[in-house]
Formats: sequence, C-alpha cells, structure tokens
Amino acid sequence: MSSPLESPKGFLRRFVFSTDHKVVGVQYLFLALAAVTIGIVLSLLMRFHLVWPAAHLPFVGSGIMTPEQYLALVTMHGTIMVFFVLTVAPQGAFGNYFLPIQIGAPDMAFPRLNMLSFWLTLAAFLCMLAAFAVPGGAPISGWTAYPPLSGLGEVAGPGEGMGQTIWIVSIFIFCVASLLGSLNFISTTIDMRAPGMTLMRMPLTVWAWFVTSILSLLAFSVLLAGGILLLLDRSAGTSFFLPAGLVVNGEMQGHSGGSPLLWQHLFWFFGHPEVYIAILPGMGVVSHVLANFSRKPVFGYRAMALALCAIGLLGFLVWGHHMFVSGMNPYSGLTFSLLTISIGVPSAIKTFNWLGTLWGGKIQFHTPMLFAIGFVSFFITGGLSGIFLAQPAVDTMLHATYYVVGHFHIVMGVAAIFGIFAATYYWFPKMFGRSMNETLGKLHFWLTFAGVYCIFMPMHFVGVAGGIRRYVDSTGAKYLAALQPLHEFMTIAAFITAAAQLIFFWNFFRSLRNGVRAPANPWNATTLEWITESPPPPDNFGGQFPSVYRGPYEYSVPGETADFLPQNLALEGGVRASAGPAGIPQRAYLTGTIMLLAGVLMFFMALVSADIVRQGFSSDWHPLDLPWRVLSLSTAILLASSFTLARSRSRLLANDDAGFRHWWGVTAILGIFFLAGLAIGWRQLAAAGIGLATSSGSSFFYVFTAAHGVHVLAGIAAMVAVAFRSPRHLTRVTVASAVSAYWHAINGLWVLLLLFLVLEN
Amino acid sequence: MSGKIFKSAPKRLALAATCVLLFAVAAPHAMAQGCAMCYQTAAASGAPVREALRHGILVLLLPATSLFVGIFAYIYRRRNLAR
Repeated sequence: MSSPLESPKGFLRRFVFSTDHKVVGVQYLFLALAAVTIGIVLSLLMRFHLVWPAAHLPFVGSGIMTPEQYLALVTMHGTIMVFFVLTVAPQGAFGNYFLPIQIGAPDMAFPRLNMLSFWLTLAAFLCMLAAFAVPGGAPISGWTAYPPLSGLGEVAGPGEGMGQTIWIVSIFIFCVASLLGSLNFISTTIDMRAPGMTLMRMPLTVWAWFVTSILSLLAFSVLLAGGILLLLDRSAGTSFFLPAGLVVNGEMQGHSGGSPLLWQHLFWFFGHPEVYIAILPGMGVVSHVLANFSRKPVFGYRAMALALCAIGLLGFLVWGHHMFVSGMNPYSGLTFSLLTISIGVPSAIKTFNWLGTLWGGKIQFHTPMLFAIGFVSFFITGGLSGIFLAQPAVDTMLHATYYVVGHFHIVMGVAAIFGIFAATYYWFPKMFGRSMNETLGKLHFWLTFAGVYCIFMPMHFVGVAGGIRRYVDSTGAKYLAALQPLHEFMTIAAFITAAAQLIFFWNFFRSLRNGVRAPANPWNATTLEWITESPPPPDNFGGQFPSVYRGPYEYSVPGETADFLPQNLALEGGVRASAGPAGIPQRAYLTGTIMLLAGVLMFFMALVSADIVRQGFSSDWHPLDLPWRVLSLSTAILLASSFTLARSRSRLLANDDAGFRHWWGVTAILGIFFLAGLAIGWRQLAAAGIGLATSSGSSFFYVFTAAHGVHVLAGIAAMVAVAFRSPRHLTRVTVASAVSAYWHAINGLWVLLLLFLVLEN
Repeated sequence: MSGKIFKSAPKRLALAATCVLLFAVAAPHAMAQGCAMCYQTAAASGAPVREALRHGILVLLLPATSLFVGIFAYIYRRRNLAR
C-alpha cells in the first residue's frame, strides 16, 4: 500500500490542476454546464430560423442565415450535446465525484490520469468551439459526420475545410480522454472497494457507472480508429470512405474504391452504445433517488443490477444486427433478431421496478424526486415512440423526419438531462455544503417538464405529416408550409423552456454562496457519501475509512426503529471504521493495464474490420508486394524482446537489480531496432512507388504498422521511465509487471496483425 | 411441485430465457428490425460487400462481447477483495 492521500497546497494544485476526484468532478460539471449553455443557444437559433427564416440576425455575416450556417448549427448542437453534455456530465462529473466515495475509497485508482482525462476533455471542447472561428466556419456534416461530405475537404463547401478537420481532431482528443477515464473507473470499481463492499452491496449508481465505463472503453476505441481513417481520407488522399468517380462542384475527385457504408459500420458500433453511455448513469441515479424519497428499498435490486449489465451487453449486439441480416434470408439472422428484441426485456424490468419502488412508498416530492419521476416519464414516452421506429416498413417512411428527432430527443436527450438534473439537485448539498432552493427547483421542474413535452410531442406529428429534418426552410413546399403553426408553437415552447433554465442557473450559482448550509445527510440516505461531512474532506472520510455491512437501500426495514440504516452500520449496531490503509492497491495497476489493453485490442480490431469491409468494396484490389524480409527480421527482434523482458522480470524478482536493468535495457533497445526495421520497410515500399494512398492495401499496411509502432514507442517510453525514475506510490515489481503485460500483449498483437497481412496478401 | 423445480436462481433464469426465446420466435415480423437506412444500403450492395460486411461485423462484435463478459468475470473473481 502507498501512503495516505494528502491535501495539496496552493490554489493551482488544489483547484485547477488537482488530482482530487471531487475537484475533477466539479470541473467536469462546470464544463458540462458551459457546453449545455452553448448547445441550448444553438438550438434556439435553429428553432428561430425555422419559423422566421427571413429574419435578420446581427451576428450572422450577411444578416440572413445561409443553409450552410444552419447545417453548421445542427452539427455543432448535436456534437456538443452528445459528447460534451450527455457523455461528460453523468459519467465525468457525478461519476468522478461519487463513485470513489460510494465504494468507500479515498480517490480514483489513478488520480493523475483522472486529471489528464479532464484536461484532454477541456482541450477537445475548446478545439470543437474553435471550429466556429476558422475560415469557412463549423462543419455541416452532422454529428455523425457521414462521408463523402465529411471526407472531401474544402471542395465540398463552407465548413468542410478546416472546420471539419478541427471537428475530427476534437473527437480524437475526446476519445483518448474517455478511454483514459473509462479504464480509471473500471479499475477503481474492481480494486478500490472498502471492506464489505461486495458487488451486491454496491449502489446502482456504481453499477451504472461501471457498465458505462466498459461501454466507453470498447466503443470509443472504435470511433478513434474511424476518426483516424477519416482524417487520412481528408488529408492524405486515401480512399477508405470515398468512392471513385465523385464529381464535386465540377471537380473530379481522385479517390477510388471506398464507401460511406464503411463509416456507418464503424461509427454506429460507437453510436449505439453511446445511447446507453448517455442513459445508463441516469438510470442508476434515478433508481438511487426513487428509493431514497420513497423510503423503500429498490424493488428487485439484483434484477436492476443485472438489467444494467444486460442493456450494456445487448447494446453491442443490437448494432451487429443492423447490417448483419442484409441480403440474407430473414431467418438467417435469427440470433441477432432475438437479441435485438430482447433488449426490451431489461428495459422493461427497469421501468416496472421503478414503478414497484414507488408503489406503497412514503413518497417525498423533493426536487430530485420530481426530476427522477420525470426521467421515468420520458423514458416510457420515448420507448413507446421507439416501438413504431422498430418496424422497418414504418421506419422507412419516418426516417429522416421530425418524428425521429422528437423520439431520440425525448428518450436519449431529455431523459438523460432529467437524470443529470436529479443528480444535481440530489448531490448539490454534498458537493458544495449548501442546499439549492426547493421552490425554485420545483418551478424549474414543472416549466421544464411541460416545456419539453410541448417541444417534442408536436415533432412526432410533424414527422408523421412528412416534415423532413435538416431542411433549412420549410416554407417552400405547400405541404410543409401547412406545418408552420406547429413549428411556431414548438419554437415558442423552446424559448420558454430555455428561459426556465435561467431559473436553474440562478438557483445553482446563488446557492453556491448563499444557499442554506446543508448537514452531512440532509436526505436521510443510506449510502456511504452521506456518512461523511459536506463537502467531503480531501481523503473523503477524514482518515476513518468505513467498513460496509449492509445493502445500499435499507429503508423502512421491518423491526427497526430507524427509517434508514446506513451501509456502515454494523448488524449488531454501532459504526466501525479503520484508519487505513488509504492508498491505492498495487493490483489496481495491473487491472488498469489490462483495461488499457482491452481498449487497444478494440482499436486494432476496428482497423482489421475496416480492412475486411473495405476489401469487399474494392473490385480492383490486388495483393501488395510487402517487404517480407525486413518484416520477418523485425518480427524476430520483437519476439526476442519478449524473452529478454521475461528474463529482466525474473532478475527483478530475484532481487538482482543490475540484472534487471541490463535485460530491461536490452528489451528497450530491441524495441528500437524493431521500429528501425519498420522504418526501413516503409522506405523500401516508398522506393517501389507504393505510398499511403496508392491502394487500399497499402493504406491499411501503413496504418497498421504506424499504429502498432506508436504502441511500441509508448512501451519503450514506459521502460525508459521505469529505468530512470522510481514511481512514488509503486513498487518496481508492480511497474515491471504492468509494463511486461503491456509489452507481451503488444508483441502478440503484432504477430496477429502480420498473420492477417500474410493471409490478406 | 413447480415451486420446487424453479427454486434455484439458475433454473428460474433458464425458465425466463426460454419464455423470452419462445416469445421472440413467435414474432417473425420483428425479425428484420434495425435502422432502415443502414439495412437498405447494405442490402442494396453486391454480394461481396454483404459478405465482407458480415465478416467485418463479426470481427468487431466477437472481441467486444468477449471483453465485456471477460471484464465481468474479472470483477466477479475479485468480488470479495477489499482495498
């Protein structure tokens, strides 16, 4: 165990570059608040323009919004809301702040990595906003960035030049930040739990954050790979997503053989789980809040935890079904179809269990409870409208209409936002030591609840009537013009709902300084965040770390005089705590490395999958004459490095420091030789006139080897760091084990990649 | 009698899974669910593309589901380990 956590000194270390998970959580929350403000303003501009398309806007170049500017608003609204609000707030903000406390830990498993995740997310956000300021403005290809539009560059129109490039770079940085955050959450949940905090005693919020992290780890790796390929299409002339014979603005494009369908394949592998990444934390929060304010245990706790896991797993399988059955006998896709249908089962379990939790409870209608009930309402409404979209015949008619916009805004956007509001009102006293105003909170709820239904329910009718989404002006066509009164109603509702958010912001920021001082446990709740003071001390529990004896929702237990039983209350009564250990267990580093490798594996699998699909599109694909001699020699060197590394580790375990350093150094040098071999191979290919964009085979070869080379380089850097610097909280054996696991896995991956290239060529 | 047979959790789970399976098999209209655009674009492609797509999907799907289940097996093995 390492030394206990200490409170950092100085303003910058405490509040800006802090590694304290609570500070990082608050930083994420403020980032999400800034993002949602911008997202709302963009949506209001869209709504305003839809109703009054000829109106002059002072901040628009020519006064009247152009179609490109409207599409830029659509793109940036979607991107900011999906990535920087729905992904950041529930997981980054509340997950960061409360996951360690709820499992009785002093911090996340990797505090510095946590800080790095936040700063990368902030960099991604600022990068995304910069797209507004570059020549041509923000991109116009939507938050899904479908090629060919997103892959062509400036020739495709304003926004598709530098704006789209910046968009991809921003998403790239965001993916890296999310991957680092995910492995941190997973490692923390697995290895940082307090004594007695068994899996079935974890609050449902922890289950939700855990499952969400797994989804993020596996899904963002694939988006990262897709983003790199898209960037290469734009900047290096490759043709992963761009077909041959494209003529854009009178210019023949030089691409050949790619297909936008490949982007759909990669993007929706991320996009489907993303829906659950946004909604699962909300489900956890709602379960938590409903139990607290119904003064009842969560109905079917075990089923609720399993349902969260099932939704996460099935989220991937649903994606698989999308295109898997295409062109096949419908019965051939039976397995996937069954899995697609069965995702409704865990969703229904959750809904009925929420209602079961409310049933017969002593319900207290505090603001967080209202938002939690609102979440259930929107989840059901959105789920019901989804049933219609699940029917292919109906979906074909409704596709790309306002019906779809209304549906996904209610189920994915608004429900998740209500989960965030419930979490904010619920945990505000714990986070800031003061309470938010209840009257203003309830006013905010009712205006938002009614307002949101007024915006999105009419959208369903507009969609059924044929109202097409993304049209900049609906007044041109007669049948669309007839829908204008509904659009006007929705726009007025949108402005009123947006105004209601000012009440929230006023309440939030005023309560930070002037709110009523909150006691440690204002809601009489049971979980561990409520046994410590508000706000919690730097190590969360003031040096007295809890042991856990009970489930997370022991409310109104028969035979007990108290209305609630905290998790740290021993069965025979009394509270037990221990002074330590407060540090991070060494095994967490191995867990973190394994999770990192899981992400790396998915990244390479995405590239392999892209290669396979891409070859299917290419009628002129031919084998590549690769520099096999150099590749074979490099592979032999890399495999030898695995043996020297094993030798190094065995010397370390035998307490032979000189032997360890010797073989450790030899391994790093062999890694450098491997990279040199790759460079020679590239040079030989280039000399033969085979460049990155020569053919799809060469494109994938360069991408595979470069991506693997970067991972080898990272391994060498880790070895050098270990050789020259002894980490503060770690034993050398732990670091050597983690680096060894990484190195062996990367070497194994290279063998698989080479095998794939051999088979392919 | 049935109370005894389905007393254990795995048996109850198996019963529930069987019910879901039977229900799903009895709903053939639902078998082509999915995003219309992806489905139709894929279906409109040639046979080599569809085959490549199926392989590509499996290459992504199998590791993802294996890792998902593997991480749960990992935490289950450490279910009683405290910090």
